[in-house]
Amino acid sequence: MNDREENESPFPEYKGERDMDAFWKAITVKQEPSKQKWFLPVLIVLVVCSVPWYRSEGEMGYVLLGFPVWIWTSIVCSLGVAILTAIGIFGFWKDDDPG
Amino acid sequence: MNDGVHELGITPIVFLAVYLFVMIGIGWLGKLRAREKSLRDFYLGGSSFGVFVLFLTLFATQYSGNTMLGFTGRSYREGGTYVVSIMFMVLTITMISLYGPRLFRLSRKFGYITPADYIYHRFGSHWLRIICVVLLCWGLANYILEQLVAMGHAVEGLSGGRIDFMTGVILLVIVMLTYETLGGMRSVAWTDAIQGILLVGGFSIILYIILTFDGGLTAATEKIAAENGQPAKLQVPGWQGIRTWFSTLLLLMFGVSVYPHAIQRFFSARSLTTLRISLAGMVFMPFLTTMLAFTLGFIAISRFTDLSTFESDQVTLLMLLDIINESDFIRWLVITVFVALVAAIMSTTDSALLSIQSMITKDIYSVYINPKASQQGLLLSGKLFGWILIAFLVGMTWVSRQTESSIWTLIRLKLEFMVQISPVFILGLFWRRLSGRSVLCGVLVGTGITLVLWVGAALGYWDAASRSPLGISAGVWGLTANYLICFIGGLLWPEPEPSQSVSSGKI
Repeated sequence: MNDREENESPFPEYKGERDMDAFWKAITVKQEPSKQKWFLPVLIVLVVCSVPWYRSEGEMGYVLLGFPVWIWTSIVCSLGVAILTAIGIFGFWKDDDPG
Repeated sequence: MNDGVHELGITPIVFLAVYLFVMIGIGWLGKLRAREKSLRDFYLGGSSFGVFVLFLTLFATQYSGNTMLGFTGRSYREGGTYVVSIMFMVLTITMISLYGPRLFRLSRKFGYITPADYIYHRFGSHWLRIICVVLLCWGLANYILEQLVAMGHAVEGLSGGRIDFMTGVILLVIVMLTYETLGGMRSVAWTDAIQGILLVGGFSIILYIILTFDGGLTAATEKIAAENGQPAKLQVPGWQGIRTWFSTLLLLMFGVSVYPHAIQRFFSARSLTTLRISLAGMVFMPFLTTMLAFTLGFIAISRFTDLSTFESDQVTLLMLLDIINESDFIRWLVITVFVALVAAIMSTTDSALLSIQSMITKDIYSVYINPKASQQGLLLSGKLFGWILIAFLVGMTWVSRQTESSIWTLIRLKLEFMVQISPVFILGLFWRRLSGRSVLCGVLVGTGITLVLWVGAALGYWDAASRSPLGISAGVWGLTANYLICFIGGLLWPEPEPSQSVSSGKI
């Protein structure tokens, strides 16, 4: 199993100190998904579209591959959010590993 | 359902015994690989996990017995609207990808072991730390309780009733405590890796069942619409249902994304690359797990009518037992799913228990009760606390069995409270003006509102199904007030600039 071979832990252990200058300096990430201007709007649109508020109550609609289309719409929107998140993680989460 | 002995004989029991011995063996290996007797080594595996172990431990921890039992039962009861479960599991990882980069960076720089290390560092409030730990432990204890109930069902089903509910619970708990006590997070993550692989196998078999039996999904949908008289489960919900849908999304995305055992797993990552790859993989796992659980519950509507809430939580087992005599091949598949179910339950329970132990030890005992305790003393007290807690929860499981409590009710109880912690991470990592006092006030008011609404439900002020006004969950009402207080507090009474901040004071 993928364990580090060194005998000593390279990490400090937090013991309750509060140097807030150091805290706010350390928090700066080179690039992160939340700082992309398009990320949150696209996310919100996909989430809102996944809920069938725009359809009539009691409607079943066409059945496609076993599910009504409104269920498929929600699944496709979920897939969209998953792809968006993966793009965010791989493309826009960049940083030096502070460890 | 499990009163009779099914046709599988003692083969599943032999399988279970082999599996449990392997788990103890892995626990022993974890102990041998321990490098030092420190909290970081025991509770975070020395922050050494590569992609393989980290991904599988995240997966096995996130997807529990509840996914295979509770989610399927809920899908059976609600029908198409429970498709919401796929989105909320995806959103959980999306939320982590939003605040995770900052928290991961801080955890590396300052050496956090528990989420409360960050909370105290960021806000400097003892009361906030204590209240957050209490809420998180409350949520996790409920989480464990729910898994213990699932353990009993799984072992009873697997053995065809030869091992009764409580014996099954006690047997699995003893094995789980053994490997966890031996190697801590390292053992838990390594057993999670095995359990994760079994879980993937189990869900793949469910997919096979969905696609092949009795005409699959299409035939089930036709039957639901035509014969079973339950077309409502295929129809678009009304406004009450839409509100509940949004409320469920908010509750789960904010609540599940602050699970302390999940946060501690990304403290355990060997590197940023390891973490990014694992999270990117995790975001697609709902399509292999939650979506299949939803579909299985959906198909079950066409097969079983009028199951009670308690019975419907076992609908996965009912579906499996329904097809068990089809062929020898199917019997082996069913055995595999049962073992995967046991694995899923154990992997989630051990992670939650380890997380509670770490918070009680690191955030409460070593700070407020025995600040001079050695690392070895802290580890011993954590293990002792874990054993006492689990003994209590096994007792509670027996009570739950007597009252036939639904698994979903237990989940809601934990999330409604845990979700109140979310501003600590979501706002605290991005907004400097947010002060400890504002967050403390927000968390207390949010939790108070949630409690009042639950009491209101118990007194019958709103309908029993939604347990809160307008079909919006009590936790979301509390969370709304919580965020409002944080925003107003941050604007009117901001956190002092760093140079003015005061070092840790007395409680």
